[in-house]
Amino acid sequence: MLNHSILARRLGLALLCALASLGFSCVQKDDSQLVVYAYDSFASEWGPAPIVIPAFEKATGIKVELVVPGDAGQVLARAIDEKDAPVADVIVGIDGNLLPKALAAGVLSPYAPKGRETVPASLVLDSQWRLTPYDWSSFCIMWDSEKLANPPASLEDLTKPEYARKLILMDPRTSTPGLGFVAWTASVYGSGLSEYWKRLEPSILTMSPGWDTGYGLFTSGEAPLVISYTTSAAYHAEYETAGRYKAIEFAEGHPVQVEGAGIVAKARHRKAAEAFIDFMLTSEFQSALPTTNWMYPAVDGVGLPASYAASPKPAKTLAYDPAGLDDAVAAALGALRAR
Amino acid sequence: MNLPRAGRAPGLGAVLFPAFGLLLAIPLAGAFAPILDGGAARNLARAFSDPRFARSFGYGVSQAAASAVLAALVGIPGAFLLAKRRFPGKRFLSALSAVPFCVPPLIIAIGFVLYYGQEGALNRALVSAFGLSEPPLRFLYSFWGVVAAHGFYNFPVVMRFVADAWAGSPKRHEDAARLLGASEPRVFLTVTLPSILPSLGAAMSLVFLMCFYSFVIVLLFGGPGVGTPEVELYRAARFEFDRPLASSFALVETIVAMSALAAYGAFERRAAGDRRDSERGPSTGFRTVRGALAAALYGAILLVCFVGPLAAIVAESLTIRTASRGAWGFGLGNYASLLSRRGFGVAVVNTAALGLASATLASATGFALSIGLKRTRSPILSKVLPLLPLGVSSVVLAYGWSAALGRPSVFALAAVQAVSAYPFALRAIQSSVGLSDERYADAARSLGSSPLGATLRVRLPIAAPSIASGFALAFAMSAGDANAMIAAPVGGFETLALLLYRLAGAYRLNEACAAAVLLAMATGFIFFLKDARDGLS
Repeated sequence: MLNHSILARRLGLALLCALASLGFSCVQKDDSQLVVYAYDSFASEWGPAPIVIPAFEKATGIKVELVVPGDAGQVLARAIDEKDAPVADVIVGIDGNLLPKALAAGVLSPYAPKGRETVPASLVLDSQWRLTPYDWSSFCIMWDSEKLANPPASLEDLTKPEYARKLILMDPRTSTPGLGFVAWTASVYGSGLSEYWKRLEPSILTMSPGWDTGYGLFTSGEAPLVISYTTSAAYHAEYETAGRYKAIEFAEGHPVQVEGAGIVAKARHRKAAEAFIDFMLTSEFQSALPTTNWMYPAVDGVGLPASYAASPKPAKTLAYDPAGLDDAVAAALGALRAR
Repeated sequence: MNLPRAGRAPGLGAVLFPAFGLLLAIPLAGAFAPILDGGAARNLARAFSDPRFARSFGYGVSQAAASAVLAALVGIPGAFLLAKRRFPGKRFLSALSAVPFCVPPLIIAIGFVLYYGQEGALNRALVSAFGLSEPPLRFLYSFWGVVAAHGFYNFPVVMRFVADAWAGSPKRHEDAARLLGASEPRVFLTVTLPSILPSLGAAMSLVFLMCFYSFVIVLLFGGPGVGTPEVELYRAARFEFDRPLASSFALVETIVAMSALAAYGAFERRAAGDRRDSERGPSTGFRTVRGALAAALYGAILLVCFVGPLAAIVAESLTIRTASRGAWGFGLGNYASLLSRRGFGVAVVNTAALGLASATLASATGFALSIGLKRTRSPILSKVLPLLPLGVSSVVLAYGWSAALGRPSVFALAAVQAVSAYPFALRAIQSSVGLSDERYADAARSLGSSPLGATLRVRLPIAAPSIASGFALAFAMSAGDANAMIAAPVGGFETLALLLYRLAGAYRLNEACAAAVLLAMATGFIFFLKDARDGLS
């Protein structure tokens, strides 16, 4: 039975491979290590991690195990799941919207890092320093100047008929900039939020699931306006010669997204974690952020690349209360459906 | 040879049957456990009283139903051609069957945008052809955009299922009807149609399920603020950190899916019954000019509506964008930078390892089940177990595993993919185990072979070709799947499908398209081998 034995051998080989792949899942633990949970784009080969992690290891001699549970929401979800027996020592990527949830779950512990005096007070989201801010940017509408002659100048302008089906947003249920846009409208319109979204509805081409897809639609010319960050303009200036894509400044002001990192409560490697948070505020770490994370450094006085001249700094910054955001999302989505 | 039934040990099946049950039971327990947190009744009541709950289910069911109808309308002519006619390009048409299983939905979405979008190839062509000022096709970002994308994405499922039934519909019955004076339409309505209906029903139920769980396409094209149960589940789990609510959504979603599944099961059993007395008639050339013209028209519609978006992806993968994005040229640069990417080789190896692991699990389970199902008399086991995975989204399974194990693992990924793929592997294997005669196994037993020996030496060799088909299908599905890995990422473990998602997410759309083309070529090649082996000509 020649066929039979070949088949058996093939099956055996396949089983062996199956077992071998099982082995991948076992990760060695080492006491001198630091375990960092970070979101996917931070850890990707185009993100800051390939620069800053080796630099930290070299400076301190601490071995870092970088774990990527997914996006920032998944980072926090995993930390909450493991609250009683934490695996992570540091979690990276908690922004202003996620912070109340992280604090309510009690996954973060206070640590006032060295160099904290170099961080502007406006970026410090938690007075107990359970979260250390490391970068920030303003939300804004990006404009494709080749496809649209007259850009809008305010949130209210976006509702005009001339912008019908010209705006790409992201779904606030699945995307951070999508949530940021809802927060923006909530802080400007307050109780008139629902009415505003009803007026805005004809202008929205689509709400994509994530920033990447939505911004991809924008650059492939599907619509000339998209919600993003002011620093997106710097990205285009860095890699593309012509100034086709511009960040528009709105009269009402712009909300800011601040990203931070914190030490996990009951972290197994507390000292190493403190060293990592300290390192995040050094110029070595901070100067890597503008061209990898495409965000402004949180520390004053860190030099910016020339391309950042294209990124406007809005004159007016809007504050909003993340606690009311779930209701704002419900109101905005409710208004869209009530067409 | 009459052995007492109770004395027949099921052999291999006895081990694999419960082992498989665990592959499904562990993650489901993990996924649904949080519903008990604070009382299941209270959590379910909370979910039901949420207005977004009813809204999302209403939308999810209606778009999935409309998509299944479109898939059937597009798929049935193709099924006829595959089953009954010989023509140039038949292999190509057949190879399209791989698309719904092996091309990730993100790529389909990108293809539709590049082709049907405001700036898409089709709109640009129409604008320049007719001198229009605005793009004429504007259906993409609406309910009908979702239905079009889903319908064209999944029509090959209908085509393949129905073609199999059509090819096997007994020609002698049709001939008998003709002999008795029935007109051609009457022959079709009274003889042919009843023989393909069960397969059509099964395929449409399956397409309904696949669209019901769809995520990227619904959010992108469905219009602002639209929601399906999967979207609400994601929101509850990831943004509201409300695990009990997420579990309630998951449970109800699974129950809704189960009813579609029950329909699929009922149709599929009837179809399997028909397969037993099937006979494969030879396919012929076109008999009339009108028939040939109609087929050519159908081919043209497929090319314009369905192959177009796929071709747009290939074109994008060959497009080199330069500084201002306005100027561009063609070349292999995207492929070069993809292949030279550090980690590309590892991703290929990982894809192969994961594919082998999950395909081995899926086909072993499929084989064990196909034998076990012939013997079991428990209606629950024989009806529910083979189909259960179709009613559970891989995202729910992946969440469940990481909740149950405490951390994501590659083993869990293989288990999730195997569980998602095995109903299809089982379907392939059942067709031959169903046909194979138990008398051979009984003869082996009477000559002194052990039950296990009878399975290994008799049943396995008879079923080997169809196991290979099932294996290939499961492997291809695994290679194209990134859902499980996105839901429960394993640190440092990257496959081609995941690399594709990361490239698309990192503003490298052209390279992502190149990765998609490579992935589709690899999985398409596997399907091609499978077809060649199945003797499809």
